[in-house]
Amino acid sequence: MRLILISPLTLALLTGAAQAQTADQRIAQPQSQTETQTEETTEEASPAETRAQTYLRRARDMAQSRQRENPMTNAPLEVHDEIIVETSDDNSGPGL
Amino acid sequence: MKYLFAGLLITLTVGLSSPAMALSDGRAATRFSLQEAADFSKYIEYELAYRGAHVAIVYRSDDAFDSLPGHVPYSHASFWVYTPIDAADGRTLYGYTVFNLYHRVDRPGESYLVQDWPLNFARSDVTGRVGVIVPLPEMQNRILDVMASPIYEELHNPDYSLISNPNDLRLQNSTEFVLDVVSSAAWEIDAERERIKVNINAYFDPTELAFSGWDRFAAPLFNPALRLDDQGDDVQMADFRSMSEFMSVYNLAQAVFELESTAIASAGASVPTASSHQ
Repeated sequence: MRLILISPLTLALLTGAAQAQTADQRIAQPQSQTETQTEETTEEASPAETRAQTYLRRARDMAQSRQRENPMTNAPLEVHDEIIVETSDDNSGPGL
Repeated sequence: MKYLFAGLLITLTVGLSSPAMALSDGRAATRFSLQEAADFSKYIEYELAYRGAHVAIVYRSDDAFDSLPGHVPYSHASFWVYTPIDAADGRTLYGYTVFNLYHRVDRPGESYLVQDWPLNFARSDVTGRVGVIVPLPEMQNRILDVMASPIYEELHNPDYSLISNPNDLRLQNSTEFVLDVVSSAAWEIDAERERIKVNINAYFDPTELAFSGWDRFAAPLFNPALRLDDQGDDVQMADFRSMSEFMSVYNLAQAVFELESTAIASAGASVPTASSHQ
């Protein structure tokens, strides 16, 4: 499974547009699917699936830890200000 | 005579509502600029974070409101999951990743699961409006348990239809997949889709779509992603309305609301932040 989200050309256009129009919004790129550190991996999983599972395990652990500390909490969470844009080496498949 | 026939065919074709325009495959629409989509995606993130949502279900329209027979306002559903994200520059960012079921571009009767980002979600939106369900914290934990386990993949049926019957096992779209995951979490019955469907049949009131006889006959001819094999006398689907009713009635949701991109402009381009609400 390939995850192609944006072409380099579109990224350049987006980056330029963002710089021109919105000073407080920055572009951030996620670590690539093969570079994301994983605690557990399965031999059959693709890099995309492995990274998705890593995010889900982290999310589950974070949410459950928070609920253990305060079962009824729905206090606001911190969220980054950047726009996450993912690049890819090829231009096939669905994308932006 | 052949001109009469051609004219009749053109008339019927033009008169048919056009579900073929819907993009439930993850490709970007062109309704909004990249900057508008980026602003809207960030606005959604801030609103979810403000409500402390580790998991939310977000619905969007892949095409204009009335493109589907029966006027389904939201044709795509996904899970937004709050998580630490590794940035390419080594930083750890805290925000949302998006988990989707998309149909394939080259094989529209087949779907796959993919994780992407809020901007991708907003780029495929064509109305500037999304529906949001924030489950109760306990339900969020259960949903994350399902999603982080092999059950999540096992609940996926790759046989796709743009409109799938949530009471039937044969076909599945993104909104039915979300319902199946939520049901697995609510009843704690893992990946047994047969048991899940028994419960959905008993407790979930699907949205009925006003499909005419002509729609039923012709729509699949014009859109190969629209299959009606799993529908009975009525055409049904799980959409934002039926899902939000289900989760509200059975006390599975802490919040149900809609967000509009116009709110960003009316707020003077100042999107809310978690800190600003505290």
